[in-house]
Amino acid sequence: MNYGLSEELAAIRQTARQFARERLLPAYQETERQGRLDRAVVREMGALGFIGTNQAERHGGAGLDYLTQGLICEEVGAGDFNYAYVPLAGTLVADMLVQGGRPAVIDTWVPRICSGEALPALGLTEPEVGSDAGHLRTRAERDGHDFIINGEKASISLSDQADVVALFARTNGDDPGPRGVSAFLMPLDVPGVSRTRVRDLGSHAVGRGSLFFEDARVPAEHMIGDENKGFSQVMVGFDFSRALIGLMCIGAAQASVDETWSYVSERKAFGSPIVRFEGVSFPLAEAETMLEAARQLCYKTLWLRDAGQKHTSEAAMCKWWPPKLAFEIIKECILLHGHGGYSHDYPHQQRLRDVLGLQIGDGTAQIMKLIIAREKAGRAAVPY
Amino acid sequence: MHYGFTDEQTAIRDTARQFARTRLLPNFQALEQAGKLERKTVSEMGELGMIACHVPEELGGAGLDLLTQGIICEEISYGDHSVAYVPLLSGLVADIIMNNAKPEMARQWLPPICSGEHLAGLALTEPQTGSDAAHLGLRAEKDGDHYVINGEKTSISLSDQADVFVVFVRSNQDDPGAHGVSAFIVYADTPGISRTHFNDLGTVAVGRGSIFFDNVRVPAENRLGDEGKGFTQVMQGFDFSRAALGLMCIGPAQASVDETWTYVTERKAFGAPIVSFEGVSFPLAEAETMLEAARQLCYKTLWMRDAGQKHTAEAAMCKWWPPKLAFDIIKDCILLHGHGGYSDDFPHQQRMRDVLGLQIGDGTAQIMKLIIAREKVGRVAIPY
Repeated sequence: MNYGLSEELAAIRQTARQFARERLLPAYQETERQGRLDRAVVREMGALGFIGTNQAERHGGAGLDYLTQGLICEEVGAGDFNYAYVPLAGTLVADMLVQGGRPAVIDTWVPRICSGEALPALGLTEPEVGSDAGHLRTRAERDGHDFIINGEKASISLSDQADVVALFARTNGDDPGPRGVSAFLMPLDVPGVSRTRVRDLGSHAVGRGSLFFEDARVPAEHMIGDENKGFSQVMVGFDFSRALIGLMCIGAAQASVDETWSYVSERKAFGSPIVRFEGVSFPLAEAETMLEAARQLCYKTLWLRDAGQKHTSEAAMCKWWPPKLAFEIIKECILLHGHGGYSHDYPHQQRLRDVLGLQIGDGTAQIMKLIIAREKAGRAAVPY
Repeated sequence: MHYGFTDEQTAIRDTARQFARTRLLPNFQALEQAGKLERKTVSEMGELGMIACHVPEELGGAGLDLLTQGIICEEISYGDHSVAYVPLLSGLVADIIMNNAKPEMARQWLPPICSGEHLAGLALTEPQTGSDAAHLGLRAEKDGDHYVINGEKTSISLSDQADVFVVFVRSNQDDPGAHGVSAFIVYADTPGISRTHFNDLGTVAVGRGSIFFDNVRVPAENRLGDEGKGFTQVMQGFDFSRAALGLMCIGPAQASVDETWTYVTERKAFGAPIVSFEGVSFPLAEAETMLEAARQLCYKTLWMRDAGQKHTAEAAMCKWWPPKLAFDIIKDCILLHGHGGYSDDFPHQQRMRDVLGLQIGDGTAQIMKLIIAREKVGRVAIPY
């Protein structure tokens, strides 16, 4: 076993940390007010190799590994949680393309995603299907060289900012389940696509909303994986991204914890800094312990992916626990700031609102726990 | 032992419940948009005897007990947590007046509070003193038959809506501690008072802000109790209000839980209502259990106060646990609504934002746990 970082990895993490602190953190609250990501910042992240870090250099990636991508997501999340959606979505969609896309599509789109020129979205959820994604309804009907898409995707992160969507649609109308679903890389600047934005509690800079498809066309060569194999071939690649989600939440929580240690070391009551009081220092000590344990769980999951080993159960653990833990820790940080912590003067209330979304998106805790049970005990644990 | 309500308590509970669910609940989100309480609604509550109900009838109250006041807070908060600040704060201020004011002043001050004509607030916290309240700095200097008050109070609920405040001041500049503190009734329209309103995460309709005192002249007859007794006499009365505060967090949590049971019984996935899945029903069953236990703790505390028994530790328990529990439960209700729960289509995100404030106001969890420890093992538990 080796828990240490190589010199190269330590240097990359330091670069990401510096970027996050100098370019992202000072603008965190203002970016929320703007309600969108700054594309210049996204391109800077691309130029630094933060997006698709594990993709091959010939595809525009940094030629490194999934664990490094995870470290970057964590550091970016500490600066601005919402910008961490960029490497999260970027590397996931890039991965899908590299695993299952046609060469021409890979050569065109993976570099664009890795450079930050193109922002991708993941188009799976619909108004009537969240957890039951295999029964999605958006239709894809072949018409010559294209497929014609009709339907609605909902709760899509970057709904009105993404340039392209990894879209899951039903190509086999006779099969209502997962075996009738295909995946496509669909540019969003085509006729028949319209988009909305929901008014959410947080992650305003990312935004969430619907994608409406009305006879919108996608070239057949943009299919990812084989026809009707969208679930069995493409979605199995999602596991590692759950560890990225865990790490970006851990990053945000660590930022609040670090700032809170500073605050309680300066704030005085009863004649001394309040950190002297165990009621203040104990929750922070507990938070540090839990964050480190969660961090190691996520790192190990990415290491398993890098080593080509199955990591479905570990990934599910990374998805249900660290986002929940981060939310609770950030909430404690608000409370440790006393009467000031509740207001918008501090970023903690925003981090709290931001991280909550990822307890839902990419799979609820309930599904994650069923996955863990299924990996342990088989399909008997799954009540459907 | 007897755990049931009297017939009278049951009748009052039913009245409060009807009022909350027909008059308050449908207006919950709109009231946040409006950003302030509706005075007409407050007057209706007064007419129904729901404000400061324990004040004797000859002084304008309903002549009931504090347990009933707690029941009212719980039922009102089910409809709208922010509106429950009225019975909470008016009940506390009325209690302070009854126990510390000269009878002729009480006869003047109490009826408008009980009727709802006057909203009441409590001004204790300052920018530099939250938990360390005994070292507050707001100055009061005697000048003939008046006191002249200078300084700032902050984080005051109903800062810019209350008509009258109980204000804690330093009347003895030579004593920096608790024995230099006095309490006064101060009307908000006294010359020299100005008020602000913060931009907060929740309880927007209540509002929180600062009160600035610039040579404010207050009659000496407005003093509550003796000079220098603001802390030792007046604040001892606060205990019971912590139980009412616990109950006004339990109310909105129960509302979210009830609505979530309904939602998960209708929402389908994998061919069945999602309530059939233990990952969905278990958290709700756990929530019902915890809420009932917390509720009984609060009721018992109020019963002890009504019976003239010491209840300091119990009150501290009511203050640190139920608000935290409510927040956690409401957050789980958001998650159980899947992708819809995060948006403002549902009231849960607002209830969650609202109840968080009461984990801070009226005493932090840290102070509450120190109180519990001190009641158990003495001052050795206090590190100051």
